[in-house]
Amino acid sequence: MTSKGQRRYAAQGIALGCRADGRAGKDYRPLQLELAVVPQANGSARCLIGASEVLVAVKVEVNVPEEDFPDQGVVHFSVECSPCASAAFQGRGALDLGADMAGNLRRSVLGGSASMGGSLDLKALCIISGSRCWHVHVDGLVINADGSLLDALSIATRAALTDLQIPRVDISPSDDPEDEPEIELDDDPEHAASLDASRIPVVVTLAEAEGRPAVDLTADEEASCPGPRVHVAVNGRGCICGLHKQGNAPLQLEALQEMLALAQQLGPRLCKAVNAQCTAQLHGRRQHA
Amino acid sequence: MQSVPFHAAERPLELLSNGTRLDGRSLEEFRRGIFLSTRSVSQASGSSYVEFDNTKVIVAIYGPREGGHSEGLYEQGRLQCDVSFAAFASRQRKQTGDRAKMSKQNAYEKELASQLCTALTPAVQLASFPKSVVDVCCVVLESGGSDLAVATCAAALALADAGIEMLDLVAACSVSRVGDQLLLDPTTDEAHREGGNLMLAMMPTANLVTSIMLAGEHTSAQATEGYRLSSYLLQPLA
Repeated sequence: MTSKGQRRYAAQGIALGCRADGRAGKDYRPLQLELAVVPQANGSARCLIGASEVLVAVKVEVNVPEEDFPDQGVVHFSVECSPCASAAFQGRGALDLGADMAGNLRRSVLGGSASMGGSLDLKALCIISGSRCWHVHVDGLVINADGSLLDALSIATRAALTDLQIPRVDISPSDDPEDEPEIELDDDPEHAASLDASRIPVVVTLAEAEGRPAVDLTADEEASCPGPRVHVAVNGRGCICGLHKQGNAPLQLEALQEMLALAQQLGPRLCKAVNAQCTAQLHGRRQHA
Repeated sequence: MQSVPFHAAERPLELLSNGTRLDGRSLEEFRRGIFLSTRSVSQASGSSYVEFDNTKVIVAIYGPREGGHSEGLYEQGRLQCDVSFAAFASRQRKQTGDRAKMSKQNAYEKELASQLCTALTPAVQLASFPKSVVDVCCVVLESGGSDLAVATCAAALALADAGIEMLDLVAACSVSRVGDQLLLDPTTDEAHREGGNLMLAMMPTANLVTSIMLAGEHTSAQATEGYRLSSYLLQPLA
């Protein structure tokens, strides 16, 4: 709980470009990534931005494709806000917040309603057109909530999908041509395939105080900025892949444009930082093996 | 034996011929059969019925009523939105038996409800009904594309009909990106082939954005063009 004075102090800090922890408006807190933290998942990552901590685990299963898209795999998103993480996560509020963030992640990764403009190749998840495909479950867990949760979740999602290893399947036609062919999973991790995660965007959340935009707000700063927050998903090339406004205050189009420009400038840098940490860890693991 | 759903017509493969869309519109044109009316539900404090060709939506406003204690205490008033699709609203009948499909549908309706709430709340003078709740119930009778945008327009109209104090009406529209083309106010068939979409809700007189949502990869030029297009074209709608 922050007092009125604290809130004013935080908001003025953003407006003047000098925040409580010494950062300027467009500075991120230190980013820490760790891959393969959940052994029972097919891919996972833990992401820390300052004190905010999230965990994303990806599990895959063989299932039937959606009727409208017979030759595509399916990706599900869910986010759980554990009541341990923040006092605000007690009761129903946490459910709604989790569903909101999961929807945001889904839109930024998968694109429009047809999942065609998305950043994942869903066709690569098809096993037998019309009858079998991979269902990928991306499950996020908020462990400590100190602001910028969606940013952290999107970074962890990108890292976990980079880490993802999909087992190889062997399809053998059954004796009776009427029956469905048999599917056999190959347990050998050597044969597993990875998914191209290089186009997955990261979310940059911006807020503003007195016309000055700021990124990576702490929980206190989020409580202090009465204005709207804008979540912008940006990929490594600086393209906008998703946009979502949060908060009860209206927004001017000019301010929005300024925020988008800042997000497009910061997004590719953030992607690069995530990539660097991912490759370093994947490389280290390979050498270890 | 798996059940085989019956579809009246296959989805079209081509959406454009000679620069016009299947229903004869140009790229930057709203659907022509726009019908707006209020007072369609007699029991509600305010209501509206809106048609955009095949998209048909009823919105009823109840309240303001006393906020329940279970929902926590709020100094200001609150909007509580609910969106539901009629069982016969889409090509696929709404699933009532299969639990997995039902929960997916519920999740979709909930998501739309929260987006509707974001789009409307900035326009409503919440201080005019402190500690109370206004219920916004929205039923989509037929889902013909751009459902959320149509529901937002209808809900703003119903709120005004209910006499809830507002800063301005809210108008909303969607733009779909199909290939390199931007299609305004897309139908379901068009949205089925989209690579990205944008939904913008605005208070047109104040020229303020109440909600913006974008999905799918856009270059900044496409995004700018998208919201320039939607903000410009929203003016006559309001």
